[in-house]
Amino acid sequence: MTEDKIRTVMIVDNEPGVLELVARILEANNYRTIEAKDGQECLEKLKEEVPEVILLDILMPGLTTREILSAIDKDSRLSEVKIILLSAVHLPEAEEKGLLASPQVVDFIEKSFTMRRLIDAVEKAISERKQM
Amino acid sequence: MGLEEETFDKIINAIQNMGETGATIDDLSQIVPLERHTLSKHLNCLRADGRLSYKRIGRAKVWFVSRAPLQHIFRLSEEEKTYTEKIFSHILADMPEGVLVLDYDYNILFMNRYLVALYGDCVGQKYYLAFFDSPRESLIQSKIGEIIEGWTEEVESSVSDKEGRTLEIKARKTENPDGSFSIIAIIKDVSEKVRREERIKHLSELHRLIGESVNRAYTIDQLCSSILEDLRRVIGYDMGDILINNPENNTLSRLAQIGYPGEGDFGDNQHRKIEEWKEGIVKAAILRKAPVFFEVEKNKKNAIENELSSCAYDLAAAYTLQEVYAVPLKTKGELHGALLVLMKSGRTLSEEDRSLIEGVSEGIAGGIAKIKLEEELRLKANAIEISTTPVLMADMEGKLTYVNPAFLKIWGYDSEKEVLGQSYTEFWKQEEGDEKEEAKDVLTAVQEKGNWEGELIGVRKKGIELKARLSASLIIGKKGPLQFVAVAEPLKKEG
Repeated sequence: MTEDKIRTVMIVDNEPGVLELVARILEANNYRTIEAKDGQECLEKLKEEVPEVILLDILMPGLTTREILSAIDKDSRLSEVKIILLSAVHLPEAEEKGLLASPQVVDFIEKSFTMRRLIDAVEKAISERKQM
Repeated sequence: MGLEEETFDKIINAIQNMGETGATIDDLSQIVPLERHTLSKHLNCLRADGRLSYKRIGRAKVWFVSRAPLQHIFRLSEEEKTYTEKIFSHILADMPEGVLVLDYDYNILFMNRYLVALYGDCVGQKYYLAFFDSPRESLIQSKIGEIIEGWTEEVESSVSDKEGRTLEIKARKTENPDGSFSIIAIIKDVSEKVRREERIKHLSELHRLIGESVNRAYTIDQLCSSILEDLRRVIGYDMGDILINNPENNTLSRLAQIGYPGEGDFGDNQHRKIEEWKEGIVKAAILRKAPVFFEVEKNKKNAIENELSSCAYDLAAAYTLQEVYAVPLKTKGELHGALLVLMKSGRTLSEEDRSLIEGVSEGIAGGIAKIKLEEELRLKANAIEISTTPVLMADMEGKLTYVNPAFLKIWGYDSEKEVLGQSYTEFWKQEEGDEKEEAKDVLTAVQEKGNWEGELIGVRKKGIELKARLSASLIIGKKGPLQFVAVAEPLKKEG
């Protein structure tokens, strides 16, 4: 990271192994993190705090990704939040579902991924915010 | 035997002695020494009991001995039936299963509405003709035949009738009031159930075969050829193709085909046209995301109406086809291509066959997607294989799980067997000092921060050292950390 300001990243994943690990690693890389285990918790926590970036797993029980994206889209406080989708499904399947249509979705990372790829994507999303 | 039973027997014997013409109450009063009103009372008791029945001729009743159970109930008008007979006749008539009564010469004495709906009213006809349209001899060995031949008293069987329906029959022998025997059968048309079971059987067989093909196949071409063969084994279609969609340039590649005559049958030009027609049909199925079914005879008039029917009709003319069927191969998110099935003149795909093909189409598409992805990964893996920069992967304990040829070459090993399973720290050391602490720290740092970059001293075979810049990252899978991967760039020449 090139800026001193601590950036906040929300991680939404129903797999505790991924959720806790990614949060811990991002914190070790000087990010603040908010953890949510599903879409409901994600939207509730977004009422309290607005992160710079959301890492959103697209296959979770409860609210669908489309519902989560729609709720974020309707909330004007969240209009500058960048979203990176994490998924075990392939990109064409996500495209077919229209998940990449939202302008807030800036990247799509298929599992399995390297932390290098994830951190680069988060940094790129934050630099895109700066240009806005 | 009680006095009343003796009287009943006398009445029944008297009626039987009158023969086929039956007996009026006047006839009986001359034979049975009873008052007319007592005789009438006994006759009605026997009728209520099902042992006698009557036909009304003018104002007179002509009495007969019931020759088959139930028979008399259906001879009577509603007003003449007792309350129990009314209830019973309604139940029998409206039963959701067939009720059939036969005499011992295969004559149909009674059939309820269920059976009338299937065969029409066949009372008086021979069972083997009405149901099977076959000679009596062919039924001797059948289950009902076994009762008539006296081999058994009760049977259960499943048979095919003249229309190809599958009937489940439960039948038993019943003694009639006149001492003769009848057969009462409960018959159910289970064709739909059998078809459904057959379909499930075929579907699971096809899924099994496709699963095996996916496991065996190394390339998409192999997989598609194998799937066409599997499908043909279960559904005997004549010719078939699998065409794969290339969305990046909106083209189709034909990966496999089966059953076509030799290439020599058509010139190059005609052959090219045939491929264009096939692509036209397949593109229509892909565009619609739904199967396309073209029956040549039905569609003749519409042949030039649109591009699809024009392609299908031209293709049908080239191969003398009766039916053209194209099914898109799609997984949830992606259209991978289509399966084209052709039937020659005089041959048709049943609705079950088409439903079966549609049923396995997603499985085929899933298999294609899997092999396609594996092919892509193998292609990408080639880049790592030919890279001159050493690449290594290790599990979360630091045991090497993969090294590329460049690593083997630079570290001086002949085979990956020599290094896989060893701790990666065996191949690195701290620049000053021992214990390989620095290398151990790399794994800790990667686990903590996700990445690590820095310089290390590589320890090659025979202890020769090499300074290298290591870039390592943690790989995260669906459920958590999987492995770590590192690229080691040598900083000075060997030696």
